[in-house]
Amino acid sequence: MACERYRDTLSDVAAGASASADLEAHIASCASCRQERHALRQALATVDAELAGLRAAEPSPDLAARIRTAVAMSSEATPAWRLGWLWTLTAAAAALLVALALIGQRVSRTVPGAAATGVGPEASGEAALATPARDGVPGTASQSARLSNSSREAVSRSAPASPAALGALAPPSRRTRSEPEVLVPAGEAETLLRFVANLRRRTVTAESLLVADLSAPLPEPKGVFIRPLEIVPLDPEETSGAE
Amino acid sequence: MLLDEAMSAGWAGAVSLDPALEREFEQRLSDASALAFRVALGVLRRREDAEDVAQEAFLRAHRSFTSLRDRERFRAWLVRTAFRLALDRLRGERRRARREDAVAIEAPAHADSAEAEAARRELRDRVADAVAGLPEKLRIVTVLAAIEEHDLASVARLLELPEGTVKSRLHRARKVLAERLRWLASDTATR
Repeated sequence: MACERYRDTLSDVAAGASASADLEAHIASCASCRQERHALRQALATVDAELAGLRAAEPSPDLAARIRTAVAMSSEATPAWRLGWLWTLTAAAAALLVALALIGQRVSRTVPGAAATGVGPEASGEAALATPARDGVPGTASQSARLSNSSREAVSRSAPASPAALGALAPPSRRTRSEPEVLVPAGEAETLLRFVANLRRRTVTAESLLVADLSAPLPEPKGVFIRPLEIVPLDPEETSGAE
Repeated sequence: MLLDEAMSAGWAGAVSLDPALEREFEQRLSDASALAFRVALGVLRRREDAEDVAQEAFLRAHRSFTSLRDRERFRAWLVRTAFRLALDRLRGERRRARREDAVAIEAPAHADSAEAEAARRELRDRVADAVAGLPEKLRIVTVLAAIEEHDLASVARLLELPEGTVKSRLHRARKVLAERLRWLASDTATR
């Protein structure tokens, strides 16, 4: 049927293509195809009428001001997505504290004098971001990794007799130069540096680091049972080296 | 690398622009905020959402402005970004929202009956659905052609494409739309 032959071409014509003489002749003699072309054109006219509203659409008068404000704020503060790593770091720090508390409890139950066994800051996870602290800027990024005073208290509450945990909570002055200065998650150095720079310029406040509320008491771990480590003191005579 | 070394290497001031760039950015904002808004509106159909998208697009533009100083390049980048952000937002919305509260694109107010208004709204929805069903390449050409009053050279500049490519895509888009919506003519004729 001739109409079927022209069906696809009619869509082209409706969309703006020019009709061939052959097609025009067919349309002139075919009411069905005339109707089809009309329907297609009507459809596009409806589309155009609806989309024409876009041309006239104006944003609210305060949009530019809103954008200016948002840009200014983003220039002053590190964007939230760049601080995303802090959540990870905070969670890791919390997990580390719990682990230290558990280990400390275990050691303190079995070896009362374990504080002298060398479980010290090096092994404690004093994840010191040391460099910013040298400047004494209150609330620098080091708070995110180094334990704040409040969190020290919180951990002390959860593991009151834990020498290891206390070792972890040792004040910064006890840190030696042999300890690592920076412990930063891989790939996050630049983000950290920008954040600390903003802290120094006082364009971002330290309170933004406290969103995780590190001062809150850590919950007691439940459902975990670790068998106490048994340590049997060696016989001095056997270890004296005397044959 | 330690912090102080890194800071002295210039990482610290990466966020803010110098005053001259800020002035240029301000010009771009005045020049193109409506464009970003309209592109987003063409996808989202809600003014508030479109303004949010325009704002986010400009925030991103600000972060990358040192490489976007050229006016044409900036507008092209902005259009692409606003379109992409709007699509992302729409996909997120579809999971939870429906279009009952979707206000149509700036239609003139009518004081007709509720029935007529409902019919008009349905028509808009059908058209919007048909446009939304286009492949992205055809869809953005359709939206920009409407915004730029079918000035294909202008659309081509915004999309950084040859004018012939834009013309071809627009033709394909209109052909698809005509075929999908051809029933509208007979439907409206019977009303």
